[in-house]
Amino acid sequence: MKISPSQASTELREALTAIVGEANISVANLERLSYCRDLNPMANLATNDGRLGPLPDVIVWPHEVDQVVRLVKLAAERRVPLIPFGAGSGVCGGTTPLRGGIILDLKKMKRILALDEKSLAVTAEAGIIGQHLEMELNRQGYTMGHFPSSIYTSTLGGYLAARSAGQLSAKYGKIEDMVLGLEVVLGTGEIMRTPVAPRASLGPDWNQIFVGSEGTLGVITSATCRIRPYPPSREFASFVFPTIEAGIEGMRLLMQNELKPAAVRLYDELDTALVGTGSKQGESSESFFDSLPISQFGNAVKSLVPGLVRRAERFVGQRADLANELQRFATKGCLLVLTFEGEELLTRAEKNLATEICEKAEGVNKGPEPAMRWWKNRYHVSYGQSKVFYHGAFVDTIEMATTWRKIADLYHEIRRAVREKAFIMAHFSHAYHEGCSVYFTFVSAGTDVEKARQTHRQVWDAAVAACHRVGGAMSHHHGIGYTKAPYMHEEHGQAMRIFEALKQEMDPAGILNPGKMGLS
Amino acid sequence: MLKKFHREIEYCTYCPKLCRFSCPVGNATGNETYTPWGRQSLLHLVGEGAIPWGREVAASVYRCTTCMLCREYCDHELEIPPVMLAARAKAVKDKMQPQEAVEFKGFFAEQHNPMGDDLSARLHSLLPKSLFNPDAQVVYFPGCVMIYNYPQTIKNTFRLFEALDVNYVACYDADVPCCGVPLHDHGYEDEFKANAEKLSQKLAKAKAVVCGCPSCAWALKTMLPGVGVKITDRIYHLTEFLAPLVAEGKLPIRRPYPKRLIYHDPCYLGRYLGVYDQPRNLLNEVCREPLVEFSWNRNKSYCCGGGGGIPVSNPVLAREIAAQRLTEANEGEKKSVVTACPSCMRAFQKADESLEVLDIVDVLVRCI
Repeated sequence: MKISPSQASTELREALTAIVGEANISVANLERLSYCRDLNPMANLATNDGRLGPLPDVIVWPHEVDQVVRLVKLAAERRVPLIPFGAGSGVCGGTTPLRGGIILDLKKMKRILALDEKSLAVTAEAGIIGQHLEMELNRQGYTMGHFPSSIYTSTLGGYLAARSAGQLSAKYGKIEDMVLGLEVVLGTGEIMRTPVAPRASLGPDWNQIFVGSEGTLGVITSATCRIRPYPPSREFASFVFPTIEAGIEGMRLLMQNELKPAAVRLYDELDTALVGTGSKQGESSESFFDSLPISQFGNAVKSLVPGLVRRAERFVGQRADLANELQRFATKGCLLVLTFEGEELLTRAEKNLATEICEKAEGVNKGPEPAMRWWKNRYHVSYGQSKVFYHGAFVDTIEMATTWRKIADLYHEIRRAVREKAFIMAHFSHAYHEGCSVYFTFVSAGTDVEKARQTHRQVWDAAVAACHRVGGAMSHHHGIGYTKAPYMHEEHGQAMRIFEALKQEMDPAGILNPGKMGLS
Repeated sequence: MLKKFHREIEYCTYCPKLCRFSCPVGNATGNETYTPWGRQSLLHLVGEGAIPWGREVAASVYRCTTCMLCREYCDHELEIPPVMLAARAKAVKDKMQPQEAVEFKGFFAEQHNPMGDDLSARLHSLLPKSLFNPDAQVVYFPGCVMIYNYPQTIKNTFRLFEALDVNYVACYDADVPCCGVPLHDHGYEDEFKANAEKLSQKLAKAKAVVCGCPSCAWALKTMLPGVGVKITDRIYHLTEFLAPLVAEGKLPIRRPYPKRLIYHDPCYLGRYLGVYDQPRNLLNEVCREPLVEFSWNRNKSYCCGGGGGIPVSNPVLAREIAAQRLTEANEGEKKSVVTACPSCMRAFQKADESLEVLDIVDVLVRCI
């Protein structure tokens, strides 16, 4: 691989060094390689092949907001792209430096600035890693309530920029529900601080303009967010429904009866068979780690067709249609796991009421164990990605959302659209009064990287088209980056003009994370 | 390249960086390159022939404290430090190691230890002749950092032995004072092996060795046999040796230790040797105040920054890591830090000169 030399001129480097200091800037190729990819599966495929790029020209690590201001002004003056960077856990290429330029790594801005115990609010710099923030809050007796599966490798700024959702969102809300105030450096170098108030009637809610803007409108440098007391009790419940439709109905009734479960996850039949519904060890897979798409499939095949397992990974990718037929052999029934947390009286009451609702909706009570197993392994599923890529296949996720009326249609339609090209399974989570999200995991492969890329794109094209046919949002919480950018105009229609106008106003030089979100 | 570690390198390369938040170097630098994911990805790219194996990549593998905390967050239980150490050894063989490593080797060679001093002479001036016995079957091996920086702790160790009526432990005569870990950390495998062979001769008569330093205990127990050098199987860290004796009530405790202490699990004592309870049991025997725990404790203990050769190759980084670890100790009423490793003590003191840092031995001695 020929690494193109950094395009950062000596003059630019000197100017950047003057702002952040010599220890906080790098034009070394190693750093440029480390910052050219996030966790977008196509970037992983490129890594597999030893082909990476495009590379940033320079990486800087500011320590304070004034440095960010000067960096943004400098980049605007020189018309050099500037890409805000948290910990690079995005899966849509949101931090990929498509046009080179400066990576602005915010992880040295990681202080907790204030903990307002009276108001239950924390103010922290954007570069703090989610797990560090949560651990510190826990130590003080609080929780943020935000638990994305990337919590070990993502930052507060990244959550806000990507409009992220955590696993316990049904109780605590998504990041947009948590944010009270923001400090943002616009593309002009101006600092914008939004008022910190529980609510305001001041015209547009600027917090919500920046949340989900993926670094295209400004650099989020700190935020004030709601926190909650650390929950004194936690309850678990699990039910198996005869069909996915019955399970969805159970979820709907839970939410529309004003219950506030922390986690609500309904697995489709295939996923249920692989996750297991048993309450004893050995009755089902012990952990989600063992139930990763590729190993799930491998294990399932192993039990069905001894001897095939060695080739299972390739088989998944190359004969996805047959792989999806596995659903026929899957245990009938769909598992719903619920967790409740908070004051003991309340969580018990919620669990009892949830049991009543689910049983009325044809749910068979499987006790707390499957939900407890999910809880124990809630971050583990992501570890499986390594195995998939190691075996030459790829895995990606599609997270869409729609209303209760359409959610089953969306699920079936996406499966139908994708099944010829990828092995696909799903679970439903992030439930609301009005609907929920459906989270597909698909595994596929190509005979070479280029073919894999084509398959990946075909899957996405088919899935998004199906989503638009049914009516729904093509992304619930992973954001857009560049991989979903081609669908933005279709998704937003005329509203993209307004987005473009905002971009023009806030980032007139067009330096902030260019090439993302379908912006020109 | 590094075929033995193919699985580790590939798995890390494709992992969504799930140990990212635990890496002390990654946290202190804020740099994705110096995380397990970053370093392993570079080794993958070298293996693919996408980038050359050169000084830049070689320098990156030296930025690991070998603390092993990443393993605790890896479902695959991958161990990254052995990969980093193998890559350093390759760097040395290919003459691509950083200049600091070259200089360190020269420095080490002067006195056969990393302190640049005659440690044998220091030890002999510290302890009475009666405590040295070349024929002893149970030997106390203090370790270089202990001899150079914490002579009082060595004296206290023998005061404890006396109080416990343990009269069969002799002090190791330190003319080959080093276990060799610092050489290994810098990639000098051949020199490590040569040192190990000399050490084994010195310890030929020992039936048990009690180490003052956890990384020495790890080296004698595991690393020496790993290069084919055999010494006794009975290798202990001092806390393992003391804990049962104190639990039996053999320590004449005259007064409880009055101050509030926070205990730091050294990486090599905890994650490497699996010793978590014995230090706590010892402290709980003598402390009046309940022992304070760091929120990162036991197998999730955070690194002090003193391992993996980092204090030599990048002292600023080592201090940053130590300072991060000490945040909790310095909150509110300042607590004294107690630990069981001289390298951790040194790392903490370099980061905060005003901090009281104690070895467990020092605490126990004040109570008898």
